[in-house]
Amino acid sequence: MNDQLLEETLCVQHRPDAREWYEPHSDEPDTIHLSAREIFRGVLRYRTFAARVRRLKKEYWYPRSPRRIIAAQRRDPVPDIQDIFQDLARRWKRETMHMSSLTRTSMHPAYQCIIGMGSTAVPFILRELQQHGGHWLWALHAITREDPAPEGSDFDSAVQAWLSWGRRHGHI
Amino acid sequence: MDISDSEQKEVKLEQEYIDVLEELFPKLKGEGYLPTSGKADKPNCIGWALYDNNQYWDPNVIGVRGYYWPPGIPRTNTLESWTKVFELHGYKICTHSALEPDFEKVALYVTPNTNTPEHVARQKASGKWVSKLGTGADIEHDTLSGLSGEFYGVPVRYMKRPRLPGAE
Repeated sequence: MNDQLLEETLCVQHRPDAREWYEPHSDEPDTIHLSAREIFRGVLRYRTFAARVRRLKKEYWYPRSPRRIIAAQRRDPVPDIQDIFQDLARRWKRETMHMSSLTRTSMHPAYQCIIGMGSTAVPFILRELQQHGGHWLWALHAITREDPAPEGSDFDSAVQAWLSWGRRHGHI
Repeated sequence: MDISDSEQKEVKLEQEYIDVLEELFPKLKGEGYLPTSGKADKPNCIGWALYDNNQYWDPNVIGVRGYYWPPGIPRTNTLESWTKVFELHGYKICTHSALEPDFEKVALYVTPNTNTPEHVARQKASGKWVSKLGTGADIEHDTLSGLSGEFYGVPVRYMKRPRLPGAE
């Protein structure tokens, strides 16, 4: 048996309809005949692809899926800006309540953090001032660079002036 | 300024606040004190010592309105500035804190580390002292050392003026 005959024989044995597979007729059944090697390769390729999809889902999609993000936030909620302000304000009050110097109380790290929050903190400061009082005038002045209190006003009238300013600007 | 001799009455403070106070001033409980009013944003200790119950006295270095500092006194938080404030109100430096019935005395506390004034207490005719503790309560305390410690430092300067008629 020469080489050409051997090749034709093998082709007929393993893929008897090879010719039709490459040149299909419309009236032929839609059947694909594959060799064992091709089937093995296909299965291998599919399993590799499926593994890659699983890995991508695990690494990329799952951590970013909205459902999982919401569930994670419920387990370990991210403190919002109001909670941050309340914590800082509580700490500042507790640790500076007995200090006699405004400069010393205003230089407290928690107070400086509140000033560092910038204009975001202004509504919270004004609400705190309205509800619980406190020496917030320095922080308001430092953030807004304004001073609505009249020259020579005492503490109570300065507080009232700041609350009116807050109402005018829609902060409270 | 009302300097009438008012009868001091003990005020009930929240236990949580008392715990904070006695932790901050560990000698206070042992040496005796009496809370005379609750927490208030104003005055602070200087205003309280000078019978001004309406204002918070502070050099207020950034100049925000609402705080009082006598005109002509340097706006610095130093022992010298505080001394000038009391000199403006008739006080003169003296050497000790012992009771002199004809004089009203104040004691200025300074922290050794920073050399800045932290507190001032005023002596009553009974020999006891009264203090407004920042924005906290005001108290009557038997000794100056009751408030001495890390927080207010120690009294380093005593000043006196003739006791005004009707002063407590």
